[in-house]
Amino acid sequence: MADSERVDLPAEFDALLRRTLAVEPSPAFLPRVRERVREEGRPSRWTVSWVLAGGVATAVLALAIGLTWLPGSPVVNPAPPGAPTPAMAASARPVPLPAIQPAASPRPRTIPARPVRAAHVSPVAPVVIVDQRQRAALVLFLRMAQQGTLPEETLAQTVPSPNSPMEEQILPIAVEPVAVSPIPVGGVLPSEIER
Amino acid sequence: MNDLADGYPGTLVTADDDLAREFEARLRDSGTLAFRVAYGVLRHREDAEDVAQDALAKAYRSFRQLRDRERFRAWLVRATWRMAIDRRRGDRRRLAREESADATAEASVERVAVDRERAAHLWNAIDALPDKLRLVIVLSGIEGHDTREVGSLLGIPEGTVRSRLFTARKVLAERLQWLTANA
Repeated sequence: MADSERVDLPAEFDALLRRTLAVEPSPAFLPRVRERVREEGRPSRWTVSWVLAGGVATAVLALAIGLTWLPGSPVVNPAPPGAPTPAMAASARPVPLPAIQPAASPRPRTIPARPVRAAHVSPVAPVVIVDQRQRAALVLFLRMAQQGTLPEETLAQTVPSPNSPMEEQILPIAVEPVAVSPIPVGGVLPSEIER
Repeated sequence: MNDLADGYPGTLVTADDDLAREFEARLRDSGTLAFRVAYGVLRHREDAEDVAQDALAKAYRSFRQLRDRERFRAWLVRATWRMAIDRRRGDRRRLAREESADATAEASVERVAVDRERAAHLWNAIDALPDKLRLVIVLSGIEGHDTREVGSLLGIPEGTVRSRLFTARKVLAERLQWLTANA
């Protein structure tokens, strides 16, 4: 310590401080550090490795999402031929559903225009299996609802009026009568007496 | 691996020769410093070695950013100090601390007892100092460290070191006044 910093602290304390801090580590200290460092391996290139790991993770995630979407993802096909159009729906007649196609019959392998993906379907949404006709009807229904061309008669046929009272049929519950016999005197049943 | 490693059995052997050689040099240069800094807080040899070892291992993990000698030493001192303080906070109940580093063999039993008592009082007073003052007083107490070196280790101007050192010594002198008066 330089003399300029000295204040009234006795010299013996300085010497004591120096003596205390002049302690040497044990001879095993440095070898232990070397051993530890050797066990831990090379200095990390964590900046690079983390960037790499992040890139790989992103790529894997993108691949997983892509694979989930490609083969079995729910897609909205363009309106099938013969499916009702909004123009048809404008008429007051009930909307005919598209004809049922037998499930087992192999479809002719034609490659139509690339199907339009449903933009609103979240990639994490669960896949719901819906019948082709139901889907077409639902699409049509939504279109008509959006355009305000949904005929009230059609609705009335399919949906019960909310004003009509609910008819609940309550079946009577048959309850067997319970036979209660008096307790015999002394609390002993005749069958027990026979024993 | 390399000449240095061949010369010293037990030196680092890694694929990155340059890095290993440099770290070995830093280890020899600053290992004891780290130990003494930790010892200045803990005053327990094994604990100080553990903390210094942790700090050196941590330094090794970041060695690519700490290859410069001055930067390495400054980083090491600060890291060791923080780790030792943390260790001490988590270990306040430890009672058995080494009282004095080197009681000379020829000293009398009475002298050793007096030294120990004085050292205990001194360290209690040092421990009560604020962190900034305590670090300065410990580092300047380590042999070979003048105010310039302490300033370099702490990344502060030499004048600041002097000022802190002055304040620390003044506080210590006040706190230890009764002891010197009774001596």
